Amino acid sequence: MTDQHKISTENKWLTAAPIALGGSAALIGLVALFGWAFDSPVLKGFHPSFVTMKPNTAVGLVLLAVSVVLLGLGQERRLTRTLAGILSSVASAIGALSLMECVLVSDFGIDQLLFRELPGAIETWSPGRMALITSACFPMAGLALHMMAAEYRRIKRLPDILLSATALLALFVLLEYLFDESGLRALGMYGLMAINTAIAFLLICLGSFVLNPAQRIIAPVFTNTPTGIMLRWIFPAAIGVPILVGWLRWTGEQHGLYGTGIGVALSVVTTIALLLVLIRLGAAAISRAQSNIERLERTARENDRRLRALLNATHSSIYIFDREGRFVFANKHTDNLHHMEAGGLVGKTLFDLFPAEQVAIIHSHNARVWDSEAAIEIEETAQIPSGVRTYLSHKFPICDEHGKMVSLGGISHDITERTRMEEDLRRSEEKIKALNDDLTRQNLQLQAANGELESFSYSVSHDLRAPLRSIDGFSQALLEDYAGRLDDTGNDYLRRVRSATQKMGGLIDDMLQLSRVTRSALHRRQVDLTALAHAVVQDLRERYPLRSVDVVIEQNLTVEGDQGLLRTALDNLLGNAWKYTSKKQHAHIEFGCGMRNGAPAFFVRDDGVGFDMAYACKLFGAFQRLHGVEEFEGTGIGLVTVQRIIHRHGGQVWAEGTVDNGATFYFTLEPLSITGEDHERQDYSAGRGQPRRCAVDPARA
Amino acid sequence: MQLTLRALKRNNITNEIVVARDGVEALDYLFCTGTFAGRDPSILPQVVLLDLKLPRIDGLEVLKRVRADRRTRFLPVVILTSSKEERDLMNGYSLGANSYIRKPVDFSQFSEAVRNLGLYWLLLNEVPSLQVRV
Repeated sequence: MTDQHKISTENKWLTAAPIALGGSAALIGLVALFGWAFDSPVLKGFHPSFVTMKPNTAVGLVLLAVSVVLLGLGQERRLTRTLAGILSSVASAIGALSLMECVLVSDFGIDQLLFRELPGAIETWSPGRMALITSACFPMAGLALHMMAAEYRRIKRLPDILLSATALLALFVLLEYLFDESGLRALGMYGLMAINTAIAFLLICLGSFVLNPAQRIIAPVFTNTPTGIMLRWIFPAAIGVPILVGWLRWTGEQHGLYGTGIGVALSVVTTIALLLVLIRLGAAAISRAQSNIERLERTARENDRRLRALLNATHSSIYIFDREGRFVFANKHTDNLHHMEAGGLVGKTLFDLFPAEQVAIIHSHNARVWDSEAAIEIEETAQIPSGVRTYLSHKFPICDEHGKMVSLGGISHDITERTRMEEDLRRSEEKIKALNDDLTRQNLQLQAANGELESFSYSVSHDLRAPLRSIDGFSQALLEDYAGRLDDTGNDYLRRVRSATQKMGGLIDDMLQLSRVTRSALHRRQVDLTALAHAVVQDLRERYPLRSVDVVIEQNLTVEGDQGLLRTALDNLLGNAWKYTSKKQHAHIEFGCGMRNGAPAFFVRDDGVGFDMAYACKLFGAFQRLHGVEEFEGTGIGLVTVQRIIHRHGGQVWAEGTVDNGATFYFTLEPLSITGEDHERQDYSAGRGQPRRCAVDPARA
Repeated sequence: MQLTLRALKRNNITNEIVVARDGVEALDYLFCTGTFAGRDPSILPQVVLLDLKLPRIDGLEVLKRVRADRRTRFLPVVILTSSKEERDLMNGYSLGANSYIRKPVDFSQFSEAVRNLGLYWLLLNEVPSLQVRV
């Protein structure tokens, strides 16, 4: 049954109608009883010339009316139904007994039980006795009400028939009162039904019809279907038109406007015309309703299409299960996952798709929703044809209009990839953490090693030099105090001892400097390399005043770096140039800057003895020398120190040279660390070829 | 130490020289304690030549205690050592050394240094007389 076929139980008028109609009928009965108690003909029968409602009739009507009211008030309560059944049965019994009195032509003494009536009352067969037709109506209406109270459904239409018959009889009586003033009533034998009795019966029948309209034959009238609409037009027409037309005809004839023949013709034509108009109007109402319904259906279909498009477009599984766990709906994605054609999953269960143990888990999740009628979000694993997948499932109840859960909806997102990525991420993080721990450990070891190195250097500085000083000092003492006792060879040996100790002292000093270069912190700031170079050269000139050396130093060379360390580097580089040009009468030394691979490369160039490029690699090794000490004094640590300083600045150092044709030492510091862009620079990468780089990779420093 | 004495002698520095073999002995002498308990505390050296590497109590600790005592806080102390470590220089001056001289390996240079030292601290340098007696 769709909504429009349903009779709304919410309709206030329909609920109140039986109570109002029954109440009115009861009132009419009670008024008549009052009439009897106070002997008022008006109260008994509306007009002194009309037949009166007999006391038993009044009692029976009140009983029937009350049972209608009772059923109208509380049809669902057993007590009221029982009470209504008893009351209607008593009314039936009263009617039946009166009917038997008429049929058997006897007197059971019930007619004057309540009030006495004088003999000769209008249209009354026996004093106080109700008319035959009235007594027949009571069992019919009573039985119908009794069946409704007892919810007797086996002969479903019997109450309808009984109530219709009663109502028609009552209507007939009413029309007789309307049209006939002769007082001769068609059903007037054995007495006549009073007009208030007829009205009360009509009210009771109408009230009974609307007590439970869905069960009655008139049910379609109250529905929103075309049938209902049609019936709502035709029923009033079928009742109203004949009454109206009949009354008009009768009135016209009474006043002598026309004769019977014309009256009949007129009434027929009027009836036809009115019915046609009313039916046509009804049909119009139906087609309006129909087009309304079609519009609603179109909208519904449109909504359905949109919804389906949405559901089928997502890459999540969307599905609905009934209480037995069968698919009621599955979107396209779900169908595709299981290689089903559209709608192929409907009617299937999870057991048709997944292994039993997985189904058990999923069912336990579903059971939680069914039990709590609340939505849950949960991770689920399922074996689909393409492999085992992990889903994040959102499951929720779907309820009917009364709020009762009728099915279970679910939306499952495939989170397999996400889960895997999260797992990967977690593993990488663990790995990084392990590496970090490693690094921290190594750092600590490095710190320990550095500490050891420092204490080693410190002790070298002190303890290695002290004995050297003794050796030198006492050799000197020997030379001074005992020179006479030694021959020339002895004196020479002592001089050699002294010179060796002094060399070793120099070596120790150089090594200490090298280790200090490695250990000391790097304090970066603006350094004027030009000024530094000038200072170094000034020192050299003072120490070797006899040398003749042309030194060219480029202007405005400024870098970011550690002043002390860069001074040491220039000390060594310019010192080397000074030293290895010592064989020349007039030496030339140049300090400047050129571009090399986009970075400024500083250079110290001399025209001294130079070196063989084949041994270039050995230049920067500790204690490696390309010349004998006899030729050039030195310890072989200077260039190692330079290299360490440059590497600590993040730069590179390399050398170019040829034997007897001078050498050039290049170094770079950090890129873009040079200022003075307007300064003119030579590009040394052109013309002289790529420098060979040996052991100058900062990464290996 | 013997070489230092020789260098002093060679440079005709004839002032009285007291040699302490370790830090404890040096402090005992200066503060007239221990083996020098009977010494007249008012007599203090004109200059103290202090090596950093000393047995028992090291040079820096000796310096610290000398500067902490009112009687000796202005006593000229010259650190004479093999170390050229920046750290030692810093510590020495921080604790109030008057001078820091590094012993060269070459005896001739050392001798020259000692000569200059004697000349300066024994002849040129003036010390407030009050600090001697407390």
